[in-house]
Amino acid sequence: MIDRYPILVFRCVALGLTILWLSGCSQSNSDAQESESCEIALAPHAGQGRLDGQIRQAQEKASQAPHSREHLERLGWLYVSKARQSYDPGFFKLAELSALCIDAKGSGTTPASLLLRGHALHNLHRFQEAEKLARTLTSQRGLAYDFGLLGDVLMEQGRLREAGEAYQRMVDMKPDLRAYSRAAHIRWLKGDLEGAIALLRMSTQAGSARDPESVAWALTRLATHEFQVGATEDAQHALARALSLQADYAPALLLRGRLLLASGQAAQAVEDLTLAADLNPLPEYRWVLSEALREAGRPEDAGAVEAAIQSKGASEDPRTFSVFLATQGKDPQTALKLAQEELAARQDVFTFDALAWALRAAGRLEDARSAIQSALAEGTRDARLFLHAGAIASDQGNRQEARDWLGQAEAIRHMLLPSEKRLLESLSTEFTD
Amino acid sequence: MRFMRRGLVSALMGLLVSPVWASSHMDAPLITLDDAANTTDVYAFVARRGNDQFLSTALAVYPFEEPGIGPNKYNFDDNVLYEIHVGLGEDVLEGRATYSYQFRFQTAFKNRQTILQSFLGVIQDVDDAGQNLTQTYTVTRIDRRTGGETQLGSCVVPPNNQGIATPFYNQADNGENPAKQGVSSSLDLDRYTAQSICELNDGHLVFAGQRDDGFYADIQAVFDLLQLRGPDDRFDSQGGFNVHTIALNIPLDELGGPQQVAGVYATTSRRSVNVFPQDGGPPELMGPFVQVGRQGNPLFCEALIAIEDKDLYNRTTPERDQELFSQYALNPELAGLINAIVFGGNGPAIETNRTDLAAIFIPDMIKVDLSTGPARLAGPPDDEGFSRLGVFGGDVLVSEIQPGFPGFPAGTIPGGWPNGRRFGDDVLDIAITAVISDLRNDPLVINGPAGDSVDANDISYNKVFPYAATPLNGRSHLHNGVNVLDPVNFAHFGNGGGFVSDIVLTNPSTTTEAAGRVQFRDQDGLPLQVGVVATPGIVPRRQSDSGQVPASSLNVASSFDFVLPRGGTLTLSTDGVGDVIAGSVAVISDSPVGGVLRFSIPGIGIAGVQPSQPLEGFVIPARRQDGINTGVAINSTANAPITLRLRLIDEVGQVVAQSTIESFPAGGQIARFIDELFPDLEAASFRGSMTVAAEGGLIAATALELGGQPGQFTTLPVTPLQ
Repeated sequence: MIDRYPILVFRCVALGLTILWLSGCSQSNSDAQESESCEIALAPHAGQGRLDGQIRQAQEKASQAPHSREHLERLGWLYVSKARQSYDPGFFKLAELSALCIDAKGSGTTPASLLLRGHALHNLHRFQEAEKLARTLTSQRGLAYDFGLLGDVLMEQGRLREAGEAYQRMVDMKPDLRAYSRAAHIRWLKGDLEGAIALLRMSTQAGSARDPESVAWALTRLATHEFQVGATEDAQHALARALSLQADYAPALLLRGRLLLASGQAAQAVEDLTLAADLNPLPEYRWVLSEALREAGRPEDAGAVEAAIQSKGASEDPRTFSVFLATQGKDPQTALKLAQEELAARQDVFTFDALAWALRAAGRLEDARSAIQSALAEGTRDARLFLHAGAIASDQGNRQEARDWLGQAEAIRHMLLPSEKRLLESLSTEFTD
Repeated sequence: MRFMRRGLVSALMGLLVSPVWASSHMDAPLITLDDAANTTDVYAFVARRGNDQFLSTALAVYPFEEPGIGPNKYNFDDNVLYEIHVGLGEDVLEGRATYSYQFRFQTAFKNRQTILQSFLGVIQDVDDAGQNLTQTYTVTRIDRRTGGETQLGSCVVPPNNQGIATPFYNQADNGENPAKQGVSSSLDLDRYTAQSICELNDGHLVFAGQRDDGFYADIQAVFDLLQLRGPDDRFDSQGGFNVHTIALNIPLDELGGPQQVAGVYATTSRRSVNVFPQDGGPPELMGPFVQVGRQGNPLFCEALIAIEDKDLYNRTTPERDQELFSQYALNPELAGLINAIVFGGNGPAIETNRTDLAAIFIPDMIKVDLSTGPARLAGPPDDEGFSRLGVFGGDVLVSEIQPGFPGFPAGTIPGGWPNGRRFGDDVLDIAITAVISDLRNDPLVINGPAGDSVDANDISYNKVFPYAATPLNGRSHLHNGVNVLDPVNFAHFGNGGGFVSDIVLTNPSTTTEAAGRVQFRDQDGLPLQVGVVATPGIVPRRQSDSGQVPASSLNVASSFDFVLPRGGTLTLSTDGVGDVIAGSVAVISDSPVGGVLRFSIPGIGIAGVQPSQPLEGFVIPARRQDGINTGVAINSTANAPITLRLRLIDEVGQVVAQSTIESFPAGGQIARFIDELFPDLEAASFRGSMTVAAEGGLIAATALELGGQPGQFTTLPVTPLQ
């Protein structure tokens, strides 16, 4: 199990609490001793940034009675911020431990600790545990953020209708950047791209300079959708705004690199994508970088990046790694195994897509067709999804169906990576006669 | 447990931000990160314009708006419904709006194919070709009793005060200078503000745009366990920040005349949306408006309501205040905290059954007695009798409809908050004083006044609509500074032809650095380029440059930024070369600095020019005798031309000569000897005094006596006129 959590292990070592930490990592967190939670959450934090200083300050205050619970809550959310800033999910674990420590300091859970812990668990992909906490919060307190958490964990589990209902409660109660963004995500998943764009525009206007990362994220999502509908200049403006708010913001750099790559400027794309992948070295980032490097005539560099994906992808992001493997035609059994394991925790559109693609790679076309139908059921308009659907239909000899899906992929082919475009062209050629 | 495609999940969940730690202007967790809808302050008071009386109201949003950001500037949000509500008669008691005034904004760009989102050039007039982003808005009155809607009109929002792009907001119409101080005549308003004031249907007056944040208080200390600082360590948490303000003058006739008390509060609302597209039809996105922010009296949500109910407050209307929030006014936690922390457990604040506070806050509407006539206003100068402490400073009004305070003449009520709220009301000091006092019984028990030592805003208010102060300049503003309002003024400096001036600044604090700016002006009040050598070891920065310049080298500029270390001293020496020039020097800084200007005349000597506080007038000893002549240097600190009246008075108090200087320019300076000022003076020798009175603004001054021999040279103190 331990090899699945390299970043967490690293954090444990950094804290000098390896044994304690590994114990916590390898067991259910409900088993963790609350006092141990406090010990780890309050272990001296290193780092030189402003956020690091705030964390140390919160640790110091949280160590002192009588306001320790309030400061622990603040500490937990600072760990969440640190996780997002550093792309190190180990800090989500520390956020969870902060929440457990809040409970240890008092006589049980509080809404504040439940929300913090639920948020951390969701980000650690422990969706079912998080759902229990979210349902407790919505039934006992029912604030807008409680419904937001509930919707998030339901959405990851593929329960889109229920998630949408939770989000509706959230936005009816408190329309703001967070609620609009979630509504936009549902709209996008349901195929309403224009609605998603309108909502994300509202979302970006409802933000604050004191929370630039959230605004930058909403702007990046907006740019993604604008890119899809062909509004490239609007997308570039949105990305420029995002990067002005949050310099070196990896998601924005990734998308800007993809825009450049799509417009044939591979060499320029490599610059953005290299920085993005350095900041957030996940398979999703490295895959795009490797493709850009190949397009830029640097196959050796691309190979090195692909080797890095190969060595760490399974632990860092198994779903994307599964799609990567299946697309590359490598190790289909591993791709399938990862997708199946992912499905046990997440039953959303993109996990079904990954499973379908891995099943096709493994030659199980009937199962692939079933899975891709599940992925397509919500009406999501996604180029990769359409490509996969077309390929599976083509393999099964369903020419009309294949032509339809490939046609839809062709309409937004700029969203595909170069290797996917080549596959699309190859498949489409079969139907040109 | 697995790691994931973190981009997707964290994308949504990262937006589930933490609850927030409240402070003023950051009042409730769920609204603090929605700046455009986050209300900071509401104002309401009786004002007069010509022969008409109004209920003057204002709503401010966008807490801690940093002046001059880019590329995206602060704007009103097109998706937010801004409302100012007025209750009348029974509706005040019930916490209901009788009229609601709605403001809806629309944003347009002249050119979207540019990164210059707000400014394409220097803006000469509002919405000219230089203003790329322009907002317009509509004003609608809703009669809540009938549901009737009346369109009152539409208007335009002026640009934000960026600096060079918006010179007319700033002193001497120069984008390098700090924002203009307040004025007492509409004719003296800056160009952009004046052009953006709209007269609407039915006699309403409206303005919407960026303004200085008129709230001043040491909120940091209040929420730092009430560890208030002393007068030597003042800290205005809102100092240096702007807000976006909507100001609306409502004719009293519309409200049914002056013989009543009105209740005022404001709300902001955002649209809900339909999360799911509608099946079988076009996706209908927009849902109804949902109230997300509310504000009435200052400090109620921030300082009295507990964290767990702050969001509830923002979602509800005053109609439910009695039911939901009255306990917070009746039994304020703040009273206990003051007793425990400030008074060491033995304070005077009554902690329960505070019916006096409940009368103010429940329902949470600012109650304004309309029968009193206009309120006294803060400005340059304050109206006679104005006190930032309102009733606790003796500033009272006479109501024609209320009995008034027991023990006072009939009808005596507060001149400011909590009878209305004016720009300039020191609401924190008033609130603390009220909490430690007992206003429930006859006789009243008044303790204090007490407060936070922050006694003024960082820029003076206007005494004319829209009352809120000029927005601070993005290019030239200071945070938390007390000296923006009171710069260190040296009324005279000279340079060239051997004349040299040394400006010596000292930082008296052993704990705080002082950052600021030295500004040179010519005799017309315009920026004056001066060659300066800086003290080695202290590095001034030329305002016109982005980088630092080496120490001890010659720099030529009209202003210099500086940072004074704790206990440090900085000397700026003019180079003494070229033709003789003269003018004035102003020093602004973010914490108090001391200073002297050493002025040396070749062959005569050196004298120290003391800094001068802005004065309405002054008197100096004067003589012209045995080759000795008295001179005076006068520097206007006003934003508009003023008139100077000078009189020469002999030793028995008889006026022997008079002189008037009309249209003395804003920021201008004059330095003359008495024989130059009074050319008609007949006596060959004179001993007595000279008075100078300013009309239309304040002045700084210094005086000197000069003889014909080395050493016969000294500066003289100036004494304010009584």
